Amino acid sequence: MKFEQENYANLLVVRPESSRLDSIVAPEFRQSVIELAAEQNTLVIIDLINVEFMDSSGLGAVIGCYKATQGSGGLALCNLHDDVKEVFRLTHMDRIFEIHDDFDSSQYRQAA
Amino acid sequence: MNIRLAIQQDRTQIPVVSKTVRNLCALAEAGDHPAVKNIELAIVELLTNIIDYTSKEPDAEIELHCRLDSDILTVKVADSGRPLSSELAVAYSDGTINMPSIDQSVDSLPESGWGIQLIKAACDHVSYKRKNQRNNYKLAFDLSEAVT
Repeated sequence: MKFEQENYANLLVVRPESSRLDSIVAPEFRQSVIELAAEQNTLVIIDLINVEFMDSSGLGAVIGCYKATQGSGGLALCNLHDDVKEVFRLTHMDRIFEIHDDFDSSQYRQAA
Repeated sequence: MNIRLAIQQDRTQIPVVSKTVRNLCALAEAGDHPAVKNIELAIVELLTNIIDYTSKEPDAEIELHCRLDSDILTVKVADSGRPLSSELAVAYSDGTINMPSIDQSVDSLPESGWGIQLIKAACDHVSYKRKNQRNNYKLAFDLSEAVT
């Protein structure tokens, strides 16, 4: 799965290019992000601006990334489309994840 | 609206089907209804589960029938795969949604198993029956606020 990667001094932004984070691409995305996070040992922000649809496999991949980064810099999300927000709302994961409207207005952008 | 689709047991078909159903909802003047995103989500989850867990013969098709009567969209899905376990059959039809507790530790958050719960959370009604050597699922969505 293709994704853009932006490196800052203290954080890593990962931006999937696919419009869908589903069972076809989610396992590869999960593995790639976990490997990058382990290498860089910083906060990871997953920017979902291009993702218009996410299913339970995509959610599972994001949860996997979240769990894998708890011992390092942690993980946050930004730019969720309404349909993607709904998946987090239905599963109550919106209460677990740190979700920002967009990266530029988050406190992390100011500090980067 | 009364549409039948035959789908191959191939994950790459799922996005095509979900977009088709979304477009059909738009044609039925329900495209802006908040439930449409849930319809797409539930159908994707159900087809993924069928292909991953009950698929028996790769060439066997999954049938999907969408019917909009007044303001209720009913989606019936049938496949000739293995029957669901009794545990899964009950999970589809028992009417309860069992999301993991958000109070549990991060390490115990599950990365899989969300599909059935998402289907049940996204639909107004879900049922499952094994009949004539086929798995028969019925999903219903209330579109009363958008369809006139």
